[in-house]
Amino acid sequence: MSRLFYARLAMGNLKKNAGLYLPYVLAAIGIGAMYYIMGAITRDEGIKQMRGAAELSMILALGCGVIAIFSVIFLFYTNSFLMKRRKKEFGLFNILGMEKRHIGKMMFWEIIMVAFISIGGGIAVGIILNKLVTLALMRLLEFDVPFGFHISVGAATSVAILFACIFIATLAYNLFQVQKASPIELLRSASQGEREPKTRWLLALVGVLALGAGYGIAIVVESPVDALMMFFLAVLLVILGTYCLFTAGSIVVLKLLRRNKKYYYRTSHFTSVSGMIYRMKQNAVGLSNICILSTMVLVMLAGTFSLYMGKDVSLRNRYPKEIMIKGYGMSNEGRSMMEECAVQGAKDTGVAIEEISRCTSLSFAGHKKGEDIIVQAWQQGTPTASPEGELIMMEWLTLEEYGQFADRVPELAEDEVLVYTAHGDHGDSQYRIGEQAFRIKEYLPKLELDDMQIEIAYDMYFIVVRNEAVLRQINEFQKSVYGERASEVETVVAMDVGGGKEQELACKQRIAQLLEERNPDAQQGTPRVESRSERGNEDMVIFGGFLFLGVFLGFVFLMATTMIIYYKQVSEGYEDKVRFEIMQKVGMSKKEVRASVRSQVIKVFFLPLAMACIHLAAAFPMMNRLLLLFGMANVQLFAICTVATIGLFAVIYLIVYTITARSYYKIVES
Amino acid sequence: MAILEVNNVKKVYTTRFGGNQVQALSDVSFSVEKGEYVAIMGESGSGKTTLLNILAALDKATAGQVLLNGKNLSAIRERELSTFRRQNLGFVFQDFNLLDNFNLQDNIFLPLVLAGKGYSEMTKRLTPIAAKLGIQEILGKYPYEVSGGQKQRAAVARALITNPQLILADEPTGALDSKAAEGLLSMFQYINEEGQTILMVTHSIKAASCAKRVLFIKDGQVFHQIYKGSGSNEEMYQKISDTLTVITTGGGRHE
Repeated sequence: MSRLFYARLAMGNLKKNAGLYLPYVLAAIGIGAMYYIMGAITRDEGIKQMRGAAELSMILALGCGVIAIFSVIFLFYTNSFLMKRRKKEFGLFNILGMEKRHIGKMMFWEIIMVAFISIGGGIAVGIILNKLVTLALMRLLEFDVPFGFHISVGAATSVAILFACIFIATLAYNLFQVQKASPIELLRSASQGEREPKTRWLLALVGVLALGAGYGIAIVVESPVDALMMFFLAVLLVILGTYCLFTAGSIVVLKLLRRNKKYYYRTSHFTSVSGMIYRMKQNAVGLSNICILSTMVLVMLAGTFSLYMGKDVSLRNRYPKEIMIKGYGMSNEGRSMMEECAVQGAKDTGVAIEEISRCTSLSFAGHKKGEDIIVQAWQQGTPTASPEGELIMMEWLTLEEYGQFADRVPELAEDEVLVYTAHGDHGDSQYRIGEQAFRIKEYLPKLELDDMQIEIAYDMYFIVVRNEAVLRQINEFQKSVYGERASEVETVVAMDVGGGKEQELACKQRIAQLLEERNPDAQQGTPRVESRSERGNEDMVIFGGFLFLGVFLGFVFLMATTMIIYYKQVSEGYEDKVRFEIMQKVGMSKKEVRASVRSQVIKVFFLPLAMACIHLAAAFPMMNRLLLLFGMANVQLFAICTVATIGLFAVIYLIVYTITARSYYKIVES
Repeated sequence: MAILEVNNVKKVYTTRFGGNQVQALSDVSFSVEKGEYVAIMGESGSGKTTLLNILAALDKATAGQVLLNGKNLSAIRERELSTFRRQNLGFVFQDFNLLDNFNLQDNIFLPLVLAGKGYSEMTKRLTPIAAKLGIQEILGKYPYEVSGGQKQRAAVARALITNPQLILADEPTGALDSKAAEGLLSMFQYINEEGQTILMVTHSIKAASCAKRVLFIKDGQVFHQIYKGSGSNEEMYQKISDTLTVITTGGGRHE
């Protein structure tokens, strides 16, 4: 027998099963191309030399990892589907006299061909698309586009290695599958799984609980810092809940429907309920995969999209003025000198100062319980129960400082304060802190400071005291409690300057230089100076990088979702064909059968999308809080981005469904 | 009164590109009276299945007409066809054609649910039939959980539950072992004695010998027919096998 006999046989098999293998190979090429592009961008010398490159390459490396893990899972999943459909063929070969090692040889050749096409195609497509994607990324980050076209050997090698490993593992798995099965099992395996699924109450209950807990965390957790830590847990719970609900919950619900005789024995429900029970059993895992992937796509796109859209607003929140100088524990002279440096710096670089302000305040945390504010040190290593009450942040400032920003300055006694809080308690008459008590003279309706902390984690209380002496007392008190971890009085000089970004940057650098030279307070560190547009550039790289990654991964996941839907449709088509014929013989018209099948298919395929939207709705509050950590406080913008993302996704999903449904009906009605 | 009248039915299959024409039925005429139990016999390729498909309105005759209760099948409009079939005909197939995702009871209910009957009405109809067929115990089971004979009895119940004018059975014993086949045949005889008209297509002499009348088809036409009269099944068996011997040894049309 010719040595290439098996190769030719393998080639023939692939051709015969083109309907199954073509999408598989296309998906592998697609993922390979994605992985190549990600790798090429990470390795790109041009990008490495750009500002913010460190953050960007970290984000991109993360993307590389995600794609690698994902391609392993996805190709394995698709392969198991292919194997299920082809086992009958292998069984037939086996019975017709081919030994298992011959089948193994044939499978080896098949995988070699698939791998060769996938890897080669993936790299080729990747090289072509790479330029396009790089251009898009550069535009997104508002970088200048470097010219030239080059091939990243490193990225190509990593694609080849990763995919070679995946295909070798796939082959090993397939060989094992064929090896352990008898020919009869192989022949029958395509028609396995006809059994009525069991009702698994426990699993369904676990699903409901896990989903409830996940949603609960997402909705209840208020502080963004906690949200960051709990987010992961919530995601895991929701994934678990989704799997349980799709596998067990759906069956429980459908069986309850079936038990309701009045509902069940009606023409429109009879075939569809029982058909769904049958379908859900086979498709539950696939559907939950689709649901989770869709949710990921939606969360990622909505989040990164709104971050990118909202980056200017968030920048303005963090930098109310263009240049901000911050000094800690400054003496009075030091504070003035900071301001002088700012003015001098502007003068030296020839920019006009449009507005300048100076504000000194003291911020520290405490626990508020009614009218008591408890300040208690948290000792490392000791699991002391945190004090009762709610954690709050306080910012203390003097009446004089307040006067700079207010139209009306009321009189204050030694033990009187003015309070402003956006979300905190408004009904208190006094605060007791340490040994002292302050009567609240007035709640301020609004407060606008240049250095106002955004309320992200905890309720903020702005407390205005009579003078520097009172502030000093408070400062000493918190220092005595917190010791090394105590806060310092912070002085912020903020100014807006005329001119463009370049001038702003030059001015900032000159001020930094001046501060270094003059050293406003010998006992404290040199004040820091930051510029908004400098920070803005970094934001652009980070948020632009995130958006790029979001879109990119979104694309990969979408491709996977499409693939899964396609394979589901095809495999269902083969199974439904038989049932379709029987129903017609028993007295259903072709139209009735088609309507019933269509309604089931639509229900099954839009269930994951509906569920993904529910997930997203539940995740919305939590994502909103997480975005606050990035300074993105615009709920409305986020909502708009989310809805737009869902809309876009639904349209794509619909298109994918329509295309794959066509191949389904072709199979069923042939 | 004749329930079914088949007049000069002809069926010609044309291959896809219109080249070859194959005549499956050349000229078939017979009628079935109410309460009759008729078996149609013939070798593979004699046109049995084609005839049955035409009787079941699954296929249309090229020429001639089929009247069920005086109504011409070819005159029924396409969208009323399945309703008509559901109301007037009951089917029993060789391979049962039970749906795997329904238990036996729901399989039996299927035609009634399609007809929009209520649950209480359905159970009322099922109880006597299930008792008659001895399947009360297994109604809750799924097709893959029961034996072939039990599956076929469920399929008979599904055919009976609509109170059809005529039951069409296509090789009902074909997939059964001899014991199960015997059980099914006595069941058929029993329901026929209760007044149910049955038309069965088979090439099993054993099955045909249970019928009151046997039609033989050869080369697309009715070749011969024999009546059981008051004879026993065994005598009928002998008659049928004699006839078949004559047919296969090429005996002319006139014995």
